[in-house]
Amino acid sequence: MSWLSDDALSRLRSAASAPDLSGTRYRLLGEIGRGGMSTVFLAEDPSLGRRVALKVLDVPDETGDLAARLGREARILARLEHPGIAPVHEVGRLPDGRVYYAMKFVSGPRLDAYAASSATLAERLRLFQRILEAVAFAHDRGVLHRDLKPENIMVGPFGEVLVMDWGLAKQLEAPADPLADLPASRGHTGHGAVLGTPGYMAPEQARGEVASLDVRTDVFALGAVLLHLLGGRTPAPLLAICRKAMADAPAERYPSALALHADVDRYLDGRRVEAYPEGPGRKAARLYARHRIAFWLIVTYLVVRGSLLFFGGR
Amino acid sequence: MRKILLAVGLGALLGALDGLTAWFEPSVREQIGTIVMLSSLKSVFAGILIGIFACYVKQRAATAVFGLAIGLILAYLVAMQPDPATGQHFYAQIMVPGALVGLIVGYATARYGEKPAAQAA
Repeated sequence: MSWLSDDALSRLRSAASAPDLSGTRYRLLGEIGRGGMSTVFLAEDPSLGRRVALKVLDVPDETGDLAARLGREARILARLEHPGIAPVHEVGRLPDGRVYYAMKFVSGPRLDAYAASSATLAERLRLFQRILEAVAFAHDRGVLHRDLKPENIMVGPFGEVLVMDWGLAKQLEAPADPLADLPASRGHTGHGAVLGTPGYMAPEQARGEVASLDVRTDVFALGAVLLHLLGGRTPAPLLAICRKAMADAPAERYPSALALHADVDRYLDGRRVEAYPEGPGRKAARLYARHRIAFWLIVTYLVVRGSLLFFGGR
Repeated sequence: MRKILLAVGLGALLGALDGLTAWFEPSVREQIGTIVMLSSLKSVFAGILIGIFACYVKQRAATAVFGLAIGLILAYLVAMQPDPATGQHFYAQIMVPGALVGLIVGYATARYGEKPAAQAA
């Protein structure tokens, strides 16, 4: 009796889970990543000569709920046409009955890998602002993400960001789409169910208070994302921004992703950050940092003018 | 236009203040009005040139250096005129502060004359 090597077993597993793409327009290239109920594959669309990411269900779906959820996620994504949100190209069904959708393939690191890079503070903040713009757009369309975390954000080669994995997304407005009311991917959305990722979940989300979730739930997660993105070298005003975004009570958080964006903008411009109360000393230090060159030019002028008057006469 | 207005306004203000410092020199105190007026006119003219330059050249350092040069040249033209009473020239006393005022106007025009960044939609 001969045993299979680990490598051979791994290849067998991979081959077994690979989707049969016959009957679709795609050609399988490999696996990108695996989630709770689905796997994302890299595929090629030969007719258009482009690479796409195929998200395919990989768990048994006896009731059809999971397929409906994947379809719902694809429909939500299709509504969110924004440069910061990966567009969906197509939704379909494989020969084995599994539902898939094809979306834009993004090559680049995830935000958690980017956070470990040598990017400067200003670069990180500008990148974070692009995430905020994408999330604010979704909020404007009445969609909550509910699972924002660095692992769900991709950074493209030109610094563009793409917010991914809208599997837990919730439609805030009265849904026109019958699928929009279906439970999300990791459990029921009724009261008591906990959906999301610990550390990035707002307290009300962690308590399963689904009815009380609103855009401030995502603002909490965005605060946690910012904290992660900044790492251990967080200046006090930015820490205050994170704290405000991650306040326990939703009423104490920023009312929207754009309000958070505006405070980050104020920090980048050297203006007073709304979340950071400052006394005269801090204010003077901030103003000095913002107008340092002008300050020293005026001081130089005064010193020179004073010296000429004192020593030289006119 | 925003940059030109800023440069002219700042030039007029700093030129007037620079002229007013002549008050501390007793020998020219009687001519303070003329000095302030000429100093302001000189700086307004410098401001116009600096403002126009800043509209075309977006580099902060270049605009500041241009302001310094313009301030120095205009101050030199003023300093060429001798003191009517003594016939003495005050090159350093006029040119050094004049150049510094030009530098400040140039830097400030480039730094503060930019339109505020549009807020994210």
